[in-house]
Amino acid sequence: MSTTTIADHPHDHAHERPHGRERWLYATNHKDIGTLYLWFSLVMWLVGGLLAMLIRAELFQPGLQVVEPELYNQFVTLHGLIMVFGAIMPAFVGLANWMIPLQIGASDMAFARMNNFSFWLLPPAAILLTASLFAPGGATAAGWTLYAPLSTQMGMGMDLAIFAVHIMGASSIMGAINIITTILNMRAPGMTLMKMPMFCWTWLITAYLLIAVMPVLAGAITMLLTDRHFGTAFFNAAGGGDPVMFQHIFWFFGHPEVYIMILPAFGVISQIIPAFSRKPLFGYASMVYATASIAILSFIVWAHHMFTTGMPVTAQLFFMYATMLISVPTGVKVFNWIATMWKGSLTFETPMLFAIGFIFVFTIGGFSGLILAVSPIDIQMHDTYYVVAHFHYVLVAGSVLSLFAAFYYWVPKWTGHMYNETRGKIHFWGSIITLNLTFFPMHFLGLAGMPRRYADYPAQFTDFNMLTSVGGWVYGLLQVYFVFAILLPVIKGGQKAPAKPWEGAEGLEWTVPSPAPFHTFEVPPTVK
Amino acid sequence: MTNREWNLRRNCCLSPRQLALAFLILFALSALVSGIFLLLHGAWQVFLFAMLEMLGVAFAFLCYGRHATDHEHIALTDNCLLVERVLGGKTHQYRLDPDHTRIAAPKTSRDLIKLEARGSRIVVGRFVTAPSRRLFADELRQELNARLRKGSVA
Repeated sequence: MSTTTIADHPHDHAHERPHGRERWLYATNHKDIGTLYLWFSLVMWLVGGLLAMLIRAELFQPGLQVVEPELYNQFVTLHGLIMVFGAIMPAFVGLANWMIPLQIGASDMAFARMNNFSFWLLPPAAILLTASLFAPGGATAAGWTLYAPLSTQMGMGMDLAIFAVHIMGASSIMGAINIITTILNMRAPGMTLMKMPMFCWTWLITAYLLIAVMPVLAGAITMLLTDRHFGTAFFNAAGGGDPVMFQHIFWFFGHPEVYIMILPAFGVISQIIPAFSRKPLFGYASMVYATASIAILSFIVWAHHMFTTGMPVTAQLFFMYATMLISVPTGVKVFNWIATMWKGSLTFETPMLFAIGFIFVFTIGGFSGLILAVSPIDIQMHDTYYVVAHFHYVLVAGSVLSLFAAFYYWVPKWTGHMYNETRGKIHFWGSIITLNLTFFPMHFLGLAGMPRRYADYPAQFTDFNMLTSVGGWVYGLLQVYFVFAILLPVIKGGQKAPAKPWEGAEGLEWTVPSPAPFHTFEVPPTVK
Repeated sequence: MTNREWNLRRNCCLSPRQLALAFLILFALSALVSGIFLLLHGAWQVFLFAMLEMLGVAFAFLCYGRHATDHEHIALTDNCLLVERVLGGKTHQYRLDPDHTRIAAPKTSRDLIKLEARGSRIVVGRFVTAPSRRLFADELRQELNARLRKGSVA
């Protein structure tokens, strides 16, 4: 994309900037709301991470050492719900809030007040979810999938979780409406859809996915609620219902949800790889079509999560081949990223390291997904640690690495300071080694038959579990290092960042000063 | 004869018709998904939430689309300063005497431009950003001054 701007950024109307508590409570500025989202997701990520550390402490050796099985299952459930709805999704919405208006040359998001509301829905929901641990009977222990009939039988922690997920879903829907309206309406003159940065494209498609599937989740958990308290029997076989129907409804939301958490990551990587290869993105149009294809295909593969519930062979074959088909557009993306790097003038600053790390580990996660798509193998592997390894490779190694890549790439624009490159590299190498140490052995555990969601295991699985726990703890410590040695210092000060700190970076966000002024693009720039 | 004209409009990429199309695509997708659950599984809650959500989307698009074509067209002719304002599809016209028009330029970035002539006062510039308002005010003042100079020479 070639961009030229005639916009001037004369002054930062500092006198109009709200201050103190009001600035954040009544925030309508897209950058402030983006910052709020990013802080919120960081806190939730640390809470979810703490639960993961406790889970790994329990699994360090066979037997019950740290927590009772009931509490262990609550930890597992809350870890999943917090990471999905509290950490990863809000983090990408935070990036969207910060970067989409800057990338399309808009002065703000389309609905600034709704933007504020959609953020401030999240903290109460997060409090409901985490505080449910202290409710009578504890938090929900049904797993993040909340499968019926288990979820129809639990205490009030389950109701709190349903309420929290409802609120978070409403927040996501409002965020999606805002993003769609902003991207469709507020692009700078000359910025046609096919000139948009890939991050905006992936978010536009993600927002469509959100709009399509969030009501499905809302419907599923409302049916759960009415089954629990209002005498319906949607998922109760004794009352003429069908528990498998919950799985169908949940996974119709759940599988696109996976892409909601990974498509924006693709967008981030598609911004970073060309910048540090000093080449335009290879196959821009094919990247757009591949992203749309993945989104469309995500609607017709949900039952690959349910091969063991029993279904006709024809259905198994359909869902198996449909799932395999997703590897084609995904392969196009990986090919294009590598082709972008091919014969480029590569440099390996921290954002690029995280981007290349993403391609490496995401591809491993993609391949294990392809293996799980094969129905006969999936029936063997279902609910084992192989599945746990697969989705952690996609989400921790995929989404989280891309979030780090985005942080290092855009943090000069956010704070006006350069981060410490050496510390960034320590963070990268430490994270990539320890996350592989954590999640790769899980493949072997799964292949050997270790089931997920159990607090105990036979002694034969001890060695790999110890390795996984140690890897997980060191990974966790490295993230504390990230917060105290990289994040807080770069906010407090450091080397001043120029408007465009990366030589090969393209896009309107690099035409405004660093840190980005409170008001940007009051006059829409012209894109050629 | 028009000597100079200005179009003050907000930046909006989609026309209301295109926005309606974007909504229809979203609606079709959502209705298809929730309709399947309603018809095959009787999951009316999914349909209910999908329709509630579509109501929200429609409201948001309507809020934005209703004012997508809002603009002010200001034309300076030999006889008058014509201000034509289109607001939510309705057009209002105001005519001022250009020889007696006073411009109160915006003092802060939130202020609009006040045009005053022979007791009539019109406020313009609500659809554009502060820098564009300042630019327009400067250009209009120059044009009116040039016109006065021309008049006094003649």
